Amino acid sequence: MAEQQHTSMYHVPASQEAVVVRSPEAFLSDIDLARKQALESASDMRSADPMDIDQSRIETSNRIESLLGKSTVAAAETIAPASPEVSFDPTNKDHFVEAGIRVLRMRAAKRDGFDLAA
Amino acid sequence: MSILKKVATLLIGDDNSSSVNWLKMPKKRALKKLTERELLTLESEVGAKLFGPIPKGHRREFFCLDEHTWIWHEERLDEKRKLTTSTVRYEINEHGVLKVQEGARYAYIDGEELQNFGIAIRMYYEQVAREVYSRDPATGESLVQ
Repeated sequence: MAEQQHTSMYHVPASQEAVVVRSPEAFLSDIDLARKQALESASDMRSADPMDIDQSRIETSNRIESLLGKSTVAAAETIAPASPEVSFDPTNKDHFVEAGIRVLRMRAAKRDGFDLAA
Repeated sequence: MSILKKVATLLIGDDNSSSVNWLKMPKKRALKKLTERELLTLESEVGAKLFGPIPKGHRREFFCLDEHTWIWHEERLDEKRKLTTSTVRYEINEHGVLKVQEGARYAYIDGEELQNFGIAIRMYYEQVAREVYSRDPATGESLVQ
């Protein structure tokens, strides 16, 4: 019974906006596509007017949003950061540990009063 | 009379109004420290929402206990209003992600469950960074100027 309950927590209803609605393959495929298009756009516009580049960023953001859904845009930003070789592998346990370490650092900073931002 | 009080008197023009409490910072200011438990609770509120809406009568928690341990906990009332609980501990070790449940049940997760767990962790980090700690998860920079 407990096994069934736990397994079902990942099966989110279709109306749910959370990222787990999508299959991992589709999710990563969309992100790879958006990243590739963003890199191509950035390459084409290196000599372009800065205002055009800003417009391109907005368009890229809108495209990612339309691809992945509003709630997943933030995740797409971090999975495809400025440095394209840095990516998050949802099956790589080392990346899980790294995410946990980052959480712990933020928590410790806030707990100890070093992080006054939040 | 303190300088502060003199300034207040000049501004207000009322010498009888001796209180300058209105000049003090509110106690619930951003500089307030939070305990680890309070921070975990805030994080867990974010983590619980990653898996969709929480049904009425359910209570869910999902949070990072330490860099190698993640906790998922759910409570619900059944038809007879009896409380049932389920707690799962995910331990990340050199062999993979070990799922530990009540009744000494444990197994390494793989396939879709492993991928979903990984995505949940990433979403947790992303949303906790923004919503609890006001930090950009990609750069770590503060979002509050």
